Amino acid sequence: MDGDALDVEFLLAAAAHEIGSLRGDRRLTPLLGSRGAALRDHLLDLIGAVEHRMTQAPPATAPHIVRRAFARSLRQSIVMLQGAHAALPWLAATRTPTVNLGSLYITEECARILVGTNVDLVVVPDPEFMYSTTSWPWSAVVNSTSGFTPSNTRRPIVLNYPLSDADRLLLHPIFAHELGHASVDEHQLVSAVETELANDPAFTAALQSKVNDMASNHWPALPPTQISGIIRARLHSWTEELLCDHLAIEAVGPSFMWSFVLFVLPLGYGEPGEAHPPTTVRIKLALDHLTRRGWRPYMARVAPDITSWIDQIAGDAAGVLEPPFDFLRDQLVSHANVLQDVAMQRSGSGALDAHRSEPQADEAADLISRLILPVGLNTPLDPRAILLGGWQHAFQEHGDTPSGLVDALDDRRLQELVGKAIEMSTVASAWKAGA
Amino acid sequence: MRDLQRLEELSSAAALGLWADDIVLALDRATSDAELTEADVTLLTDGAVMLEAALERTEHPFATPKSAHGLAATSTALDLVATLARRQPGTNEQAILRAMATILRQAATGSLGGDVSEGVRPVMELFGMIGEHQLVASNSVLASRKDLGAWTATPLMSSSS
Repeated sequence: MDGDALDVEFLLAAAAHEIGSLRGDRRLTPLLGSRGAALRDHLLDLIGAVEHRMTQAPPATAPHIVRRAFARSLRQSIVMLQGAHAALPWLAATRTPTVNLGSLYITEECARILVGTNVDLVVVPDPEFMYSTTSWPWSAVVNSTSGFTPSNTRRPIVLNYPLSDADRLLLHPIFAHELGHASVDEHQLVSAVETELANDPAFTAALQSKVNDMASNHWPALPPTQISGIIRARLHSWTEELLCDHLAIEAVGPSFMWSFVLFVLPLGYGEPGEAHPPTTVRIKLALDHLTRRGWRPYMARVAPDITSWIDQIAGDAAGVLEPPFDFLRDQLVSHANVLQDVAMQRSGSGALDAHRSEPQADEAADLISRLILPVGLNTPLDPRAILLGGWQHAFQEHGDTPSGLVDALDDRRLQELVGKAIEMSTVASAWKAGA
Repeated sequence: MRDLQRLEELSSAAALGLWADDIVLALDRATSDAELTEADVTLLTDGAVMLEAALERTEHPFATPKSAHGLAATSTALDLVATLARRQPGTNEQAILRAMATILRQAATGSLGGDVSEGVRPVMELFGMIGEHQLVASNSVLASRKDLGAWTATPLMSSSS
């Protein structure tokens, strides 16, 4: 019977088996260096939390409903342990990194700017075509275990990228968006936006009106409480995605826009999702942010036709959307400054500055065109400016056109050059700082 | 959903279920001879706070909880309390939520009355239902396939729509 003595005996043995299976895996042995160490400790904390739960059995005289609750918590723990096996290949990947080293250095710098210094970045290739991220993957379970104190305090961040894109450096500004998710979580940035919205009477009035409209005309079977909850949940998800775009712009400037268009536009145009705004809306808001940060003249100078094309796409953000997506779009567009402000406040002095970076990007592009490693003639260039210079050269070489944007991705020589230059610039800067 | 975030979703679903079942265990300790720990008091108080937040949502539909966790927990509680209300003609969701929150607060402060089993049992049932609901949810996340349309996923409106 569910929760009786035999059931609990079985579940305790099954949980111990899962723990033994994880602990016995060679990939969980201590790692050399610090990369992946926090992820390993976090996994060990999950195991520790489950072991703690296993000791919390109620007395045999407890009512059946109580014993069932304990049995269910063991089952829930076993589900978690099975899910935790996903981390073992990540730990293995830290021993044999495949991503371009220059890209890894830039990503680590973005992590420091957007998330903080106390992070453990694990960059893992995904055999399927996917960029994604997770950080503190088991913290909800670990932290909900009363009486258990986790040992790990350093945030583990796992970044997935498509294996096929390992050396496609021009796409890697997308990593900055992925790191945005860790930043949003660490610094509660969605809450910061939601607080601003809640304090705006125009927003609360519009929400009330939209809930009433949905109840009357679209979702008549649902009570207002549920409709409001659904809209809030979707607004939360859209806000997070947009914040991640804005944080990426703060970190890497127009490089993010170009890589974003390359990766996302082939997948969708104006279609809204429950978790993601339409691409047109994301591009409009990203473009507005780049303009506010002074990047517009640079973009118009190095890629006038692509900038004009992106402008046209942004213009389609105002198209017709089904309710309640129209509400989400309208509110977020009218509160664009709130999203930008939150991202700018987070990035602070770490943001890529247009006026400082533009001459460096020009220098990098010029060096690349002469087949010279674009590290910098006098002082090491900012790695993020080198990346911009790589894009500049790509437009010159492959054309300031939508298809030129795509063709640049096949230019392996350019991307190897840019990656090596970023690597050398990072090493040179570190050496100078230590000298 | 981005693929790696499946793990966070799994963790969130499991954590809510574990928390609900922990409340059942803490309630049992509160009504037996066992000594209540500080962690038990926190659990029981948090349970009351969640039910009060759900009650607030029924009274003010536009004042939804700000955190995603709070939204998920109160939404699940509201769905299940609606089920309980349908099973008990003559009751309503608000009365059930208010009574259960009171019992949890009394349990947390050690001020439950003499024969409390009649009042405590429905609270255990509600949190047990949340635990069951979340076990199904976390199994579903664990078994879900990778979503390749991550960046521009365009899922259909949820079935509730």
